[in-house]
Amino acid sequence: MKEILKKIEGDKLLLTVKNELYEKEAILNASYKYTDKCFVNIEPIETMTEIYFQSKNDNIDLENIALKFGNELIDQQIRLNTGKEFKVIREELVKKAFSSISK
Amino acid sequence: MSYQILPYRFERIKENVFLSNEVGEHLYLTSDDFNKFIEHRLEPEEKTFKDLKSKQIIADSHLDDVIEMLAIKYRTKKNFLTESTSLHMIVASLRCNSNCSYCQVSKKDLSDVSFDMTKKTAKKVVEKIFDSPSSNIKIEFQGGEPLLNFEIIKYIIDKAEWTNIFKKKNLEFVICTNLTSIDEKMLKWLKGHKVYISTSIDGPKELHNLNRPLHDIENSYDLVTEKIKLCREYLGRDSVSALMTTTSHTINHFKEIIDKYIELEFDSVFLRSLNPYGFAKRDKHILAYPMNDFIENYKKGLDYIIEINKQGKFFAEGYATILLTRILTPFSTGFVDLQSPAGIAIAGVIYDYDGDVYVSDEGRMLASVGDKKFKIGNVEVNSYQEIFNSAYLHELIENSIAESLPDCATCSYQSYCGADPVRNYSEQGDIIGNRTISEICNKNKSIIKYLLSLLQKNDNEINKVFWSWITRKSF
Repeated sequence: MKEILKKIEGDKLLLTVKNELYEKEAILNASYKYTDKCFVNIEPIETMTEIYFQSKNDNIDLENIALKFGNELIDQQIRLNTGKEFKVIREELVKKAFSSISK
Repeated sequence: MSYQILPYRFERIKENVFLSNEVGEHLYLTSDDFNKFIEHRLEPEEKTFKDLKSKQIIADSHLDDVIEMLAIKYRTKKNFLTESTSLHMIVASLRCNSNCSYCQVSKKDLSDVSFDMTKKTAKKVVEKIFDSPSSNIKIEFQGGEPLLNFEIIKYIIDKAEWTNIFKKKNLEFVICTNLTSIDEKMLKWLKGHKVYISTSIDGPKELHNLNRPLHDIENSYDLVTEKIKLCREYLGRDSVSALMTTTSHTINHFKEIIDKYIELEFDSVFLRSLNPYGFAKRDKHILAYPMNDFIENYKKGLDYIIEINKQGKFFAEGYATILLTRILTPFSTGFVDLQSPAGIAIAGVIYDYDGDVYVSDEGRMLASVGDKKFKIGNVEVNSYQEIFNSAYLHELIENSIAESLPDCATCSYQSYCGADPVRNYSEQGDIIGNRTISEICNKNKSIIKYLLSLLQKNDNEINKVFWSWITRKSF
């Protein structure tokens, strides 16, 4: 997986992702999902973003987190991509729904 | 193919993808079909295209009409926002003759009448209640044990009914009571008014007594069940409902609890987990259990109830009924713990015995152990506007909109769920909270997913049972 580079040392995991593929919001949302298991730190470095994970306890499988993070990141980016398509419609829908109240 | 993707959320479940939209319409796609969907590669003749179109997740024509339809459904779903506060809970007294292991309100000694609401405070409370623009007013008496201050209950009911001659609202009363001190004289009086009784039955005798002994006797069960019969004689069959609270003593006994509710002729049970307030929080090392244990037992309990219904007996599970109404209909359910924005103060509010006003029962539970974070005023000091339209309340509500909360914003179960800032604060010390460690998020998500999995079976019998719960009619 060239778009995500991985490095594990002890209870620490470092993932590096390409900013051209994933937006900051997708990286944040995906990282959030692991805040129950790890302390997470996000560091943008030029065209890449580094995400540091440190296990909160000994039972955390960092290898597994590295694998799942990739999929989570894709899903988060899909949400952003399709969300842009219907953002205006969602706003219009809510506006219409409550138009009788705002009059 | 040219089509417009409409607002939706998704989650992968094994090899499938679950999709839902703002109004709760939902369906499952294979991963391949999901990829075709988001890449605009679906063709009109494909079943997936038709399914997505019928669920209003895509539109290929008449976009304005589709948005209009979604807006109507959305408005219906959020109908609780068009009404102002309708549930008004009043703590008639903090004294209590029960000695419940999980008391969430830190009840006071029987003899200490300084914890009773006075007429002066009660008068102000009723005035505030009728300042509410809501056309529906439900006054719910809470405690302690509210019947220990029956005089104030009578005073409030009388005053509310008089006020309502001019205000003409849909007015009803509920007394949440352990029933042990109710007598025929009280019931004769209550019979003349529109009063419902909500009591607590935690299961068969030995389990109930373990959770809910009285101060002076351990066997409260016999007394409560006898009083339920008495209430039904005076107030009518459907005037009494009951709630249960699950502790570590009862977590593995849902089947017996369900059987007991049926034996006592209730037509539903609400399998309710322990809330982390008061003694329940203080003694959690004795009373609590992992939330996953509750979820697993809940599922088994629900399966058991479904089987009972399949055999021809109408008997509903309360929490599932609320969630199924949200999943299968566009209607608002009015369950304040599961609303977005949260129902705090805008759907329900509580007036403590001393006139302090809290955004929810749980808010005053926190106050009873010294944390008044969710106090929004006092009826004797503040006006209705100051209590219900304060900048502080606005801030609390702005931070309890699931559509904009971390993780909830993208959660595919959002339209069935809600936000609970008081619970977040109690669990995590933060009204927004972190969903990955939230017990209530785990519980809600797991139960919603389980209900959806049962619906996905498309089992005609199960579907009939679920619809009978929603419509409250035996199939």
